[in-house]
Amino acid sequence: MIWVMGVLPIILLILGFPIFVILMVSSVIALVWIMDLPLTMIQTEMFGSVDNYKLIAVPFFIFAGAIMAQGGISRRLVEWVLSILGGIRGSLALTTVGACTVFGAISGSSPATVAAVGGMLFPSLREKGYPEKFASGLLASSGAIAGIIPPSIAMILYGAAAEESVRHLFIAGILPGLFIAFVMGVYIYFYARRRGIREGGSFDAATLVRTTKSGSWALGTPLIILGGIYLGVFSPTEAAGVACLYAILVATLVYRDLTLPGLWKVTVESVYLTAQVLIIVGAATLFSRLLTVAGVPQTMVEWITSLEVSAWVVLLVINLLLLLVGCVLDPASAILVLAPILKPVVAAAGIDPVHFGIIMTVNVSIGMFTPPFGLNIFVTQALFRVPLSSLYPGLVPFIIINLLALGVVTYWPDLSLVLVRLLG
Amino acid sequence: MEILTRSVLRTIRLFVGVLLIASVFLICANAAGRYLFLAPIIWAEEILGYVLVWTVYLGAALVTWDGGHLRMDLLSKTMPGPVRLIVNGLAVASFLAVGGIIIYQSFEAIGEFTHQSQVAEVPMQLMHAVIPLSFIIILGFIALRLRGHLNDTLSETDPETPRENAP
Repeated sequence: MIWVMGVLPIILLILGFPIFVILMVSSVIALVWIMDLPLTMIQTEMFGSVDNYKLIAVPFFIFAGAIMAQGGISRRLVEWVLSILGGIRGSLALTTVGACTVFGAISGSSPATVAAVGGMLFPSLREKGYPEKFASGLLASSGAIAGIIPPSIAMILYGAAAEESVRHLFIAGILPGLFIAFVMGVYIYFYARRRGIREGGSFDAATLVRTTKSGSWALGTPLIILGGIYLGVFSPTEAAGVACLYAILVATLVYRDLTLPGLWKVTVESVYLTAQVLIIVGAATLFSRLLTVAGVPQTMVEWITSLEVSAWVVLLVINLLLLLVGCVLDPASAILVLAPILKPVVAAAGIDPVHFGIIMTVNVSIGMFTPPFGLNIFVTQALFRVPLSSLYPGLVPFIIINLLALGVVTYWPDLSLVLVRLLG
Repeated sequence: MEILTRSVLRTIRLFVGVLLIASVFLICANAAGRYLFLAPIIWAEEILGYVLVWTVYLGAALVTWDGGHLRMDLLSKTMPGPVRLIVNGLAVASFLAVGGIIIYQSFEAIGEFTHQSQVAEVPMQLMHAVIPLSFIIILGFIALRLRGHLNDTLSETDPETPRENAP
């Protein structure tokens, strides 16, 4: 069993097989030759796992994010953030973090954020004297904030895989996401001071009024999504749907930056991205169900309990595992395969499953820009033609900062849970 | 054959695109109905779940067409040509085998779903049929573009299909 469900998937992963195929091959071999279960379980699991109301939010958030990027909404959001931070030293780099945070409050997709924000800010960052390695490292890592700031696709997948409330996860993700953005902002400020970087701009109230006016429709999107969810008006899935409709109306009728053929292209692209991610849900659910039937999570719980280690050691080990997995696997696959296995382990150690969801989200988000395989690295490399020899060293300070922030998120549960208690 | 393939691709794109836009309107109509008219669309959640299943599995056929399934390919790309060809051959063979088993067991399983869904009362056999249907198309696409799958050149040969990075 360990060979089929443990070693074989790792070998096939290294060989570059599609993740969906890896999970299906292992599951089918286990079903046919090892476990005494009906083969028709494949149909039931593949259908039942995707037929999940929580998961409907995934295509909607992808769709909303794509409309924002193509429809001029993200450009107005960046201009608005820049007008607020214009007078501060390091304002352009700070705008990158701020814009990724605001864009993350709409799309929930990390690479989409790198592409949308980076496309506008990378040339300006280079122009104003930021070294290539800093600018590229900043973009790849800032984009990861979008995966943590609600609404987050990673949190929706965790909610579906671990059967936790997506609304609670969204509430719990607010402070950790803002905290990481703040810590990165502090580093950027001191970096710009040490390097003597001055963008030359200053805060101008008239510019702020102009960008706020021009971006007011764009700013309405995060308000609708987050306000609707936190005030209990909409479920996360409904909020995502309403955000799509709002984005379509704003991009086509108000800003007129998106034509109908453009909207159709964005629609098909969104379906494509959705299928890429959610096909793994069907396979991963079958895979983790077989592991559960084989008693793997239970064995892990018993093993960890027998070690008699405290909760913080369990969290340390799990963090190391997740960081390692996050370096080589995309967030969706990592969450869908590991969440059902690890949830009983952390529950046995007395850790709140919502808090664990945030820890897992932060881990896989760090994996997005951790060498060698972080997806944001390749998006940054492809979009801005930065060589890996420059990009990898540029990532190091941001990885260290994010690891320190992960430590705080992990060992200070109240940072995640205080708002859940207040608003949940 | 090329005309048929293009027609299938175009039909799938049209179908899944319309499904996504329709589901946006349906979920908004449901929310509006609940708050404005105190009359939610009771079958909306159930239908949206089925729409997602159809979107994902038919969308997977588009992903297969240009070899866009998520994978960790950095190491495999550094392999020498002949080794890479063998590895890609094994991956394609596994995909075909898995697809075949999925289709086979689907027909067996679907035979048992003679009931209707609880709220919308749609036949469950019809809803479940998307899985074998999609995998028949997927296997057909793999067979049609076997050389591209083996050489990893799919994205270069079909610029029409969108290929983006996953979230």
